[in-house]
Amino acid sequence: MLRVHALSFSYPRGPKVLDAIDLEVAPGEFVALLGPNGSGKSTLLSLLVGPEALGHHPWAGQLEIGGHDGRTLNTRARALQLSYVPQTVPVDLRLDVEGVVRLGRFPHRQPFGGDTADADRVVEEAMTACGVTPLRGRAYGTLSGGERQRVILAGCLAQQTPCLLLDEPTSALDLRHGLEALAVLATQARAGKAVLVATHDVNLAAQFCSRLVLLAEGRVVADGPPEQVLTREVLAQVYGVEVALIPVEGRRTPLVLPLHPIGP
Amino acid sequence: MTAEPRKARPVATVLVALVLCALALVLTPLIGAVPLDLKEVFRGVEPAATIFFTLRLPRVLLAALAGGALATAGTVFQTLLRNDLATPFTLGVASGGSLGAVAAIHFGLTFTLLGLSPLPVAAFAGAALVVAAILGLVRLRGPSMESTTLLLAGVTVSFLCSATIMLLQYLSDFTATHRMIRWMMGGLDTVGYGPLLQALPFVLVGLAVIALQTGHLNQLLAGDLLAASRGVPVRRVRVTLLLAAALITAAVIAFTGPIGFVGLIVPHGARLLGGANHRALLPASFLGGAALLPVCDMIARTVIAPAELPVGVLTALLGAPFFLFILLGQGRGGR
Repeated sequence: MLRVHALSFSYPRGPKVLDAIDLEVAPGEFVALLGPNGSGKSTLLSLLVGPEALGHHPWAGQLEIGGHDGRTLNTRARALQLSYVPQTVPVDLRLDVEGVVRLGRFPHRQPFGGDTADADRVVEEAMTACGVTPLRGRAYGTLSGGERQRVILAGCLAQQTPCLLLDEPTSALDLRHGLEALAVLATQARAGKAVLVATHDVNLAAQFCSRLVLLAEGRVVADGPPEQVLTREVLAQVYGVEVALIPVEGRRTPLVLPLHPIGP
Repeated sequence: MTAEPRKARPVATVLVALVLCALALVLTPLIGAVPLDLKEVFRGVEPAATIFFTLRLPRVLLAALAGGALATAGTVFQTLLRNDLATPFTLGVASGGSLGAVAAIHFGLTFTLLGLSPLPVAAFAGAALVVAAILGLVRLRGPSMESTTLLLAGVTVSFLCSATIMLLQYLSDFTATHRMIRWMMGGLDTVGYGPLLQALPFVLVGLAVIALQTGHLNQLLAGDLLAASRGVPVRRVRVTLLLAAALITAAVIAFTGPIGFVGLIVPHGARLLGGANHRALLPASFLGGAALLPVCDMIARTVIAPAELPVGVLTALLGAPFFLFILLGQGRGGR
C-alpha cells in the first residue's frame, strides 16, 4: 500500500516540481501515472524510492509505504516494501543476465550471510515471468534495449516487494514486448501487489490499468478509471492536443488518437 | 550471428591469480644481481641469508602489498566513479601525496613521528588533505554524491597539487629537484621490514572495509538509482568506499611513491577474465596486483644491475602490452 498526502517538492532555487500531491495505490491495484513531459511523474517516483534517489533534497508532506512512515523508513526496510524500474536502465553493466536479476535479492540477504534459501527459485520465476530465461548466461551489455528493460524488470520482481514502481517501462519495448510487460505487471497486481507505472502510452495504460492518475505541472488533475480520465476535454487541457476517441470492439475504453496541437 | 564475448570465469580467475601471486612471492626474492639458492638461505649461509631476509624478502613483500592495495583501490574507484579510466590516483591521492613529499624535500623537513621519517608522513598527510578537500568540495556542491561531481573535484584538486609541485621544483636546488623527481617515479628500495609493517595496518583496515562493502559495490554497478531502490545507502557507501580506497592508496604511496598502471591494468585484466562481480573481482585484483608488482620490481632491479630502473617505468612498459593483449583477445570474441 502506497499513500501520499500533500506532497510538495522543489529543487533548491527551482520552481515547484510537485505541488500538494494526494495519491493512494491499494494492494491489487494497477495504477498508471500519466502526464506531459516535466509534469512531475519521475520526481514523484524518485521521492517514493527514497532520499537517495532524490539526491537527499528535502520535501514536504506525508508518505506512507506499506503502513510505515516514509520519512523514518531506512533504505533496506524500504527496499523490502517497494522495488523500482528507473526510466533509463544502465547499458554498461558487466554482469550476465542471471547476475543482474539476482541483484534484486539484495535487500533479502542476511548480513555476512548469502542469499536466502529460496533465492534460486525466486530468481528463476522472475526470469520466466519476464521471458528472459533463454538469455540467462548472456552478457547484459550485448542485449537489445528491450531485452535489457525486461531483465531489469525481472530483477524488480525478484525483489518480491508488495509495491512495484516503474518509470516508463515500455518506452524501449516493441508492440509485442510492451503488451507482454504490462501483462506481467497486471498479473502482479492480481496477485495482490500495488503497482504504479509512469508512462506516456495512454492507450496501453487504459487497456491494462484499473485507474489512471493524470499529472500536470506537479498537480493531480484527474484520478479515476480510464473512461473517466481519458476525455477530449481533459486531454486537451493537459496535453494541449485535439484527440479523436475511437471505440474498439472488445475494449472497455476507446482508443486515443492525437490529431493536432491546440492553443499556444 | 554475433559471437558471444568470452565467458567470465570468476573462480578460475581467482585461482590463477592466487597461483601467480604465490609463484611471484617464492621466486622473485631468489632472482637479482646476486642469484640466491633457497637451500643456502635457510641453512643461514652468509651473505645469502642476509641478502634474502633483510634486502630481498622485505622488498618483495612491500611490492606485493603495494601492488595488491593499488589494484584493489583501482577496482573500487572504477566502480565508484563508473569510469574505466579511473585509477587509485584519479581523485588526486597521488598528487596530494607527491605534494607532501615534495614539500618535505623542499623545506628540508627533519623529524620522526612514531618512528617514521618525514617523507612518508608528509606524503600521507598530503594525500589525506586532498581527500578531505574533495569531500568538502562535493558537499558544498550539493547533498548527493554524484560520480561526475567527485571526478571533477578530484581532477581539479589534482591539477592544483601538480601546479604547486612544479612551483616547488622550480624554487628548489638541483639535488632537491632530483630527489623530488625520483620520488615521483615510485620505487620499492627498502631495507628491513619497517615500511612494510608501518603500511600494513592501514592497508588491512582499508581492505577489510572494502571487503565488507562487496555487495554494495555490486549494486552500484547497476547505477545509483537502482542501487538505492535495492536498499543501498548510496551516499554513505560512496563516502566509506572512497575513504577506504584512499586510505590504502595513501598508506602505500607514502612509502613507495606513486607507482602507476598497476591500479589500472590489473582490475581490467581481472574483470575481462573473471567478470565484474566484486566477490571474485576484488580478490582477483588484489592477488593479481600482488603478483605483478614483485615481478616488475624484480625486472627493474636486475635488467641494468647493479643499477636499478624506477619500477613505475617497468609497470607501464610491461603492463601496457599485456593489457592490450587481453583487450584484443576479448575483442576477437565479439562485441
